[in-house]
Amino acid sequence: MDSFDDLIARCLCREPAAEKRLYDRLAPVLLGLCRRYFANPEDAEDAMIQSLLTVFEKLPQFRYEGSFEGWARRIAVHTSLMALRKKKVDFSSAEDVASLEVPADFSLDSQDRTQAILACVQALPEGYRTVFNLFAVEGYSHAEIADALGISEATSKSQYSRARARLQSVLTAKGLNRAD
Amino acid sequence: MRIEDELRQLQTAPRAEAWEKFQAARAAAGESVAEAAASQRPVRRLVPYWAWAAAGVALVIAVGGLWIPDARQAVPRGTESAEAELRTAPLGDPAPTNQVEPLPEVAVAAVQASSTLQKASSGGNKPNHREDDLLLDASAPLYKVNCDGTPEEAQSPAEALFSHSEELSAPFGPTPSPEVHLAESGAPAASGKPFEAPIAQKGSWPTSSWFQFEVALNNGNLYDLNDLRRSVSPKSGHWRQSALAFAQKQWENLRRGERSAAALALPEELTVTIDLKSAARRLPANPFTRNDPPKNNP
Repeated sequence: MDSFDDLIARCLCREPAAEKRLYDRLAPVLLGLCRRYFANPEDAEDAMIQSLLTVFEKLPQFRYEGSFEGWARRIAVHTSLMALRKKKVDFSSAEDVASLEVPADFSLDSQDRTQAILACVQALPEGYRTVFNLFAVEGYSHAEIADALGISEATSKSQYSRARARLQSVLTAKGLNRAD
Repeated sequence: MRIEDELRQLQTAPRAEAWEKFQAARAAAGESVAEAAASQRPVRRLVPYWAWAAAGVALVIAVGGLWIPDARQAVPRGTESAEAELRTAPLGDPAPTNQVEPLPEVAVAAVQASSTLQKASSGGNKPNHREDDLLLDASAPLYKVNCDGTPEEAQSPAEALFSHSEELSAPFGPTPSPEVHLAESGAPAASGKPFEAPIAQKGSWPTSSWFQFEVALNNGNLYDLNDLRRSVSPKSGHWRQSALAFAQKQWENLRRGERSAAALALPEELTVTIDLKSAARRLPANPFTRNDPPKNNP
């Protein structure tokens, strides 16, 4: 398998095969990331494509100072947040956890475990889901989340605790919460 | 594995249409990776700096090339021997080294040149408060400096005009500017045509103080051009040579149409007049070129 450095160099030389290969390696990663932020698969795919466009556009600016995949993931997170802002999502809304709905067709027989967890995350309200993804999965601090979403740090903490509580209850009920 | 880690490692294969959608979006954006790379490469970013630097150097060279010849002619630096020669020249002699003939149609009048030394009212012991006035009479005679009417002489007008000693012409070098052909020791100019301009002089050359002269064309009618006026220091010993060279250059510029030929009608006959009348204008003393002792020096 070609390394990212080699693919980047060839993409900078406008080699179509390398661009396709880089797309093939990045697209599944970024689409999996975007699907955590969007319940609608088409929205996730749009965000993934927009993220890849940004990655290819900003490719000459990559400094080789860290992981290329991590760099691309940060671009995808930023792109997803921008898309959510365009949808005018209220990240500070405290929705009733009782309103959360787990997909009816959810079953361990038809989905693998990770996809089942993903479905539970997608069932969270957008505000909860975004804060949960940013804090628990991406590793952002509450201060950074507050700055990125335009909410207070306390709101970010409360949103995360509610999202986590709801997710734990759902996953426990489904027998998926085998970790913590 | 924690749930968060599972979510982090989640990968979802995109649909096949996603690639086509991606390519279409790239084509719509009109952005290519290579073009973006080229726009961000350091060489491309440095191009404006190189262009600016090259333009700056070219500008400096152009301005310097235009300014240096004029500056050499306008304010030459003198030597002690030249100053000594000037001090020995009689006052009122317009051209000690040239054949000067008063014009027959112009009555020769006495040139009243006076140098007034004034002390500052507050304290006369301050050397920088000295003011020099060179007052020349408005009815100063018009001298024709060997421009024409000297057929008996073998020398050309240019040779006669610029037959200064080497001591005087040395700071100028062999050819200070393309227009000024200074012949040394009476020898003809090495290249170029000789100085053809008829030169008239109003007033006499001062032997002390700074003065300002104006070069007039068309029989004394001054053109209102700032750079036709120059201030020179007679103590440098090259004031006359500088004035003549400057006059010649202006005259040749006008003859070639490079100077205000479009705005000013070019006369049939041109006469370069070095008008010393404007020397009545007070000019600040230059403490760096004065040899006068300080007033508070016992």
